[in-house]
Amino acid sequence: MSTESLLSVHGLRKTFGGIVAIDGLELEVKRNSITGLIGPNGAGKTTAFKTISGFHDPDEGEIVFDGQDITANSVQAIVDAGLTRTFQEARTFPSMTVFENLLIGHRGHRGEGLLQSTAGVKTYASDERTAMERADQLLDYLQLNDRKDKQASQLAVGERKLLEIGRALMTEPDLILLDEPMAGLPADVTADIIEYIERIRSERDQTFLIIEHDMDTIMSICDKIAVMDAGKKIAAGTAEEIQNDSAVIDAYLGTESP
Amino acid sequence: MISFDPQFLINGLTTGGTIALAAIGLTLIFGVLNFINFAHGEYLTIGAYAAFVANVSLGLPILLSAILAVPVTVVFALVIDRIVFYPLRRQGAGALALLITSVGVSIVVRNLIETIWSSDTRRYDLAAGEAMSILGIRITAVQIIILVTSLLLMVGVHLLLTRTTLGVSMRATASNQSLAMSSGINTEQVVRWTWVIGAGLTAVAGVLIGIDTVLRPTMGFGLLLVMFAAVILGGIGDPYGAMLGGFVIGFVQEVSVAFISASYKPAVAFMIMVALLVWKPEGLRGGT
Amino acid sequence: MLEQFSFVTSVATVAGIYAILAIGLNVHWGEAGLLNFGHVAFFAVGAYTSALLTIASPSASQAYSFGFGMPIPVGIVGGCIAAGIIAFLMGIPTLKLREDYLAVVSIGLAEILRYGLMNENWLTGGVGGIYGIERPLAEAIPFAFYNLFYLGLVLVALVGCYLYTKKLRRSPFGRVLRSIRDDEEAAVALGKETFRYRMQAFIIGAVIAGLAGSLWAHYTTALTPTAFATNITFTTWVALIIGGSGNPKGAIAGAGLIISFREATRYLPDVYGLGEIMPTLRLIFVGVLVIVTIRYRPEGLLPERNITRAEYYNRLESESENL
Repeated sequence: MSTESLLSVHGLRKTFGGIVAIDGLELEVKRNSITGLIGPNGAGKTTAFKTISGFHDPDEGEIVFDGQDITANSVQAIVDAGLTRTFQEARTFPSMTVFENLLIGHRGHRGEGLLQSTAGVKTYASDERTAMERADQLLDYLQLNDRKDKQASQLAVGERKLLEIGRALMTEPDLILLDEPMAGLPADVTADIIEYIERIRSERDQTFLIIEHDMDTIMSICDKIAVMDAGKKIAAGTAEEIQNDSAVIDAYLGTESP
Repeated sequence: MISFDPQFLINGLTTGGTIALAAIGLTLIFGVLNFINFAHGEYLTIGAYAAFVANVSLGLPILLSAILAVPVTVVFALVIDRIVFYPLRRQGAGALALLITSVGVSIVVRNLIETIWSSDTRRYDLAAGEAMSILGIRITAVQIIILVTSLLLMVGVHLLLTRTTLGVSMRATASNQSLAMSSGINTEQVVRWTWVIGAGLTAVAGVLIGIDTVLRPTMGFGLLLVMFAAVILGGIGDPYGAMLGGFVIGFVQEVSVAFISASYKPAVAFMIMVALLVWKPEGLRGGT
Repeated sequence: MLEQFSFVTSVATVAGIYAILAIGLNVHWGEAGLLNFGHVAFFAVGAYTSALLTIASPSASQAYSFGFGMPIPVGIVGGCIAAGIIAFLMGIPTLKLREDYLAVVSIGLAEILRYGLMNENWLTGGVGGIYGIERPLAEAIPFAFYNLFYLGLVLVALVGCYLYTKKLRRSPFGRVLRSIRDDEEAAVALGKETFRYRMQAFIIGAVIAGLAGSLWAHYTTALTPTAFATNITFTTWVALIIGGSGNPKGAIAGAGLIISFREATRYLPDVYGLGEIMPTLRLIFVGVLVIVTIRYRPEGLLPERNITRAEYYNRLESESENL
């Protein structure tokens, strides 16, 4: 059985002005894994996410997703290919309801075109029905049903995180990039989110690549961890292997210990 | 081939000088408080009318009137900040709420002035200036005063920004507020002094314009877009850029009459600003 | 009695036209989060285009050179299209800008347009403007009822604009617009082409403003550039802020309130001898109202209301039954 790499990054390089943010990054994410990406502040992790998901175009290198070269693709094309990214601050749409937040995630909704919306529901009824049914299902799955008509800004921070993940799930991704999902969460909520991520991985056949600083989360949830420093990958392996890697320990010296 | 008329230079420099003075304050306030203050033009008007009260109603000499106009305007600016903007800042209002509120403030101030002094144009009580001719260029005493005052004040601002702790703090806060706060800079104090310097300089610009032309309640508001253009040209938050921007706009406006109809002159500044925002929003001096 | 009735009719007509303007601005600001301070530009383009399309060919003594003598419906449609085109041209460079920059640029562009209106005599008749614009069905309707008829026309247009924007609000297109308004980057991350949506919203709001302009031109029968100064933009904004942005009903309520206030106070002054300063006092009051509203009730009188899941389902069920 060959290792099914869902995402392969080779020789990725990205500079801003004179600053090298990513310097020859190599990364592999296996299908149906929960892979962690860690590293000290400024290592380039979020920049890597932004480049992989299409927000930045890399200067050099190659990004292959599900057998497809997505290196220079637009964000929209990458989302269509099955790769979706979330944000550190749980950026749900604050003035919109939970239900609406989920509906927006539905890809390829013909009703979103101005012509169709002007013409009326008849022109997009099936897409709308599908989107609503999928949103209903996620409302149940994420236990947000009783808050479906509440504005996202009124949710607790843990619920917003879940909503953002749900919204990402609506895009029917194969790979979800989670940017620091535990940032700003109290410990009990963190446990809930961890449980959801694991369930989503197994029950919905999902793959996750997670940036995290919270080491307990990373060590417990991730099958494999890649460590970045100064724009490069300096180590990769299981939690134990990482903890004992001298390069990793050096990188973290003076900041936080893994 | 249009022959270069040095008259443009003098006119451009004097117009530019007053715009530059007003723009310095606007850019500092934007840099430090991070909102576009649509009421900024009113400080110019308040300054001009304060000097009018001193000069015409109270009979004081123009220089003293000009000097008095500064603290009057500064007090207004601080009071307006305290009762209108500060409460919004404290409740976490965004830049847009502040912007719309500043539009409201500008309407109130402008119409208050018009209520009191009517929309008739006013003039200071001055001895008529004579025009001199230097190297074939016509220049009036007033223009010399404007140039000298603007340049002196700009040098003063430069010294303040580079030689004093306050000035350095202001520049730091204007370019990166969160970093400044974490370095222990007292931002509320910086904010207060930004209003002082910004409103003060703008008040002087108002008096100078009043000396050079006339006073009317819309004088500040009418120049607001031009001030914005100068700020954007020089790069937001950059006081030196604002000085440069003011002079460039003043100069370009004057020169433009050689190329396009004079009735479009005020629109020239807008065109520059629009072009800049679209193609080079970080301004002539580039990003920091 | 007849005089007062006629007065009320004309106030209502002006209020109706401002309500249409406010609905257009609501599409920009309330739905799409576009801070457009140059709204009067679309109003002016609509008015002048409709005027020029419908007016007779000019005589040699008149400053402007074009007049096409077309029927009024052509003029009105032309006014809407022209406003849309201007919005498209304005939008290309500006819609990528950060919101508060858009405010500054949009005023700049509207002012440039106004200078163009004043100076390009060959097109717009310059400062003197265009006069003698036709009124629709002027011969057919008896003079005594004409203003009432025109009010009816304006109200029909208003209802049409209201129903359309309400429909858009509830549509998937409206949902995407609001998401872009809330957080553009997050919308991009979901694969939405945000620039296209903003441009479309910009054009729709401009077309609505162009309609208001066309209606205005055929109502007043004369146009001069001074009528299209920034205070029209300001009045529309105040109407939206007070009435409630994000809510088309709020736009209408706000316009009604502001115009009624303005017209009611126009006749007050003689009582207290405040005649001369009444215009400025009125504006001071409005300015204070804006400041107070943003501080204490930023959502306005009729706040934006979220659409519930039940409403989406009902809409889907009821409309697809008619298939």
